Amino acid sequence: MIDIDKTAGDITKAIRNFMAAEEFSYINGYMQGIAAEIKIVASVVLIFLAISSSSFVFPLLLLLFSITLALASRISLATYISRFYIIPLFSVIVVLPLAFINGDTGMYGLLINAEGAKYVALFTVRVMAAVATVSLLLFTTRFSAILSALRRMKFPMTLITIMAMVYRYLFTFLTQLVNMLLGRRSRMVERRKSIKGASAFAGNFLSRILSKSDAVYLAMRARGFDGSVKTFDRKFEWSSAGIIYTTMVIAMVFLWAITEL
Amino acid sequence: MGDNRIIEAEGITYTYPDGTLAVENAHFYLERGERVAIVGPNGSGKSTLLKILSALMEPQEGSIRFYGKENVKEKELRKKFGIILQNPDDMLFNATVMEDLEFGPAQIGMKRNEFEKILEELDEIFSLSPLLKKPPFKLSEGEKQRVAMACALATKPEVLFLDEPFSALDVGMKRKVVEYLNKLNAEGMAMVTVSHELDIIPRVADRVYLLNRRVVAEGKVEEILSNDKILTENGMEPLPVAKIAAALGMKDIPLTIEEFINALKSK
Ligand SMILES: Nc1ncnc2c1ncn2[C@@H]1O[C@H](COP(=O)(O)OP(=O)(O)O)[C@@H](O)[C@H]1O
Ligand SMILES: [Mg+2]
Repeated sequence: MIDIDKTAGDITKAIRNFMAAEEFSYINGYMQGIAAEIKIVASVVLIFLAISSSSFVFPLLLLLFSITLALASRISLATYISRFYIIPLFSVIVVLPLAFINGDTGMYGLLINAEGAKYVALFTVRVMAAVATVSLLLFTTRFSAILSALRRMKFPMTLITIMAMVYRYLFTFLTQLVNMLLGRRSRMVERRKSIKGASAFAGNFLSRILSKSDAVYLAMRARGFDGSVKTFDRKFEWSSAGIIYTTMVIAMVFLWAITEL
Repeated sequence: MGDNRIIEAEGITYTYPDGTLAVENAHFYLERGERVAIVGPNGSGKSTLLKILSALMEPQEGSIRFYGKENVKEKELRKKFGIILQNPDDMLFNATVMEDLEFGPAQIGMKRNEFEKILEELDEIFSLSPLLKKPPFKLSEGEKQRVAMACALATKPEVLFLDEPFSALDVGMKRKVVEYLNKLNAEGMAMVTVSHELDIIPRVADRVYLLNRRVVAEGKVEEILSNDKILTENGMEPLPVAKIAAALGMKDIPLTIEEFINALKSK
């Protein structure tokens, strides 16, 4: 049976916390003082290297690198780490069967495929390193700063606007979902756990979302939105923090080359 | 007519896609620097009419002119209109309060330093500082309403549209905000306030439309709010002071406690 309240509630909470991470971007920390462009380019490079690693060394190093920078940026470690121990959990579930298919090594009565097991472990570490890198970017950079950086980097305007819209709608949907869950909870004496209840809830949620998205679109237009989201321009500037960070990232690239090649 | 009219609407009819007739054959005008209110019971079409008057929705029937013109670019209007929608949850769609405050000014191409100056002023009235870094969903209802109002004012509008703007504000904040709005009005900002409660109306409007899908009455605040009969007939509760004054047989019906006391004293 599905406990829709609990499931939806958990997911909502996780995503809302994810978005709320932006609060950290206002703290006066190390990464916050670096131009968004530098962080975006560096993150893309580091993630690419992490997911193309064939050994554990680089992903683990990157994980350590990210955690150190998070600390230097005065991000709550608990919040930061909660980010990448939850997300890889899903990825493990997806690839875990690989560890048991064609098992040959006996262990606690289970037949384990050593190659498969190693792959699962490597996969997980790589995802964790990638998520840690993205999280650091999102924790320390305001969303509007990311958008304005992408614009300066000549990213297609349409893509930027779509990103901005999706981000905004997601917020509203989540608020809506939370309100509905609270409403249900307050009206229900005994929680029903049934497929029927779940599908009725989903249908209701969908119809509300549609009317809600109309409302948000209206509100955006009320504030001057005309099809392309604009942000205050931030000037690109090299700070000493930015130079040091760039140097460290280049060092990371060398480390990758040494461990992989 | 003339150059003074910012909005001029005739025969406005709006039906929602599901067939609900929300506004029927309504008219409205707004002159520069005016304070106008639209009052009526719940579901009487106030919010719908406000969205039409602020050019967010188009009526199926009727004509509406902005600044004397039939076809004004929406972009031009957005620079001049500030709108506070009824539900602040709709208004706040950014990751943090700060980004929400920046959104409007950035869309209309305001310079950052100009925005920062305005923000300082708004902070004094709406106590925004402690809220700036928070995501909107963590705010209380009253805080959301304050932020939504500040968002609409951040573009320095020439006309401010307010849909039930004070419903979640406490007494002290309400007084402060009304005072500030009136200061902006004295400097030239026009205001259109929608409300189903009458108590605040004498302090934010000089002219009133009573809406009940159609415009059932219009006139000076004193005329409409002291008209016990028409208010009651249209599902509105007349102001207690006005009722007492009428029962006492006063000629000039007071609309606020202060007016009431003064009237009693002068007798
Ligand atoms: N999006 C919508 N779809 C269908 N009907 C609506 C919608 N919004 C409002 N209505 C209906 O239109 C009428 C007027 O609504 P509204 O303008 O919100 O009134 P008020 O603001 O005076 O309470 C009501 O009967 C309401 O139920
Ligand atoms: Mg309304």
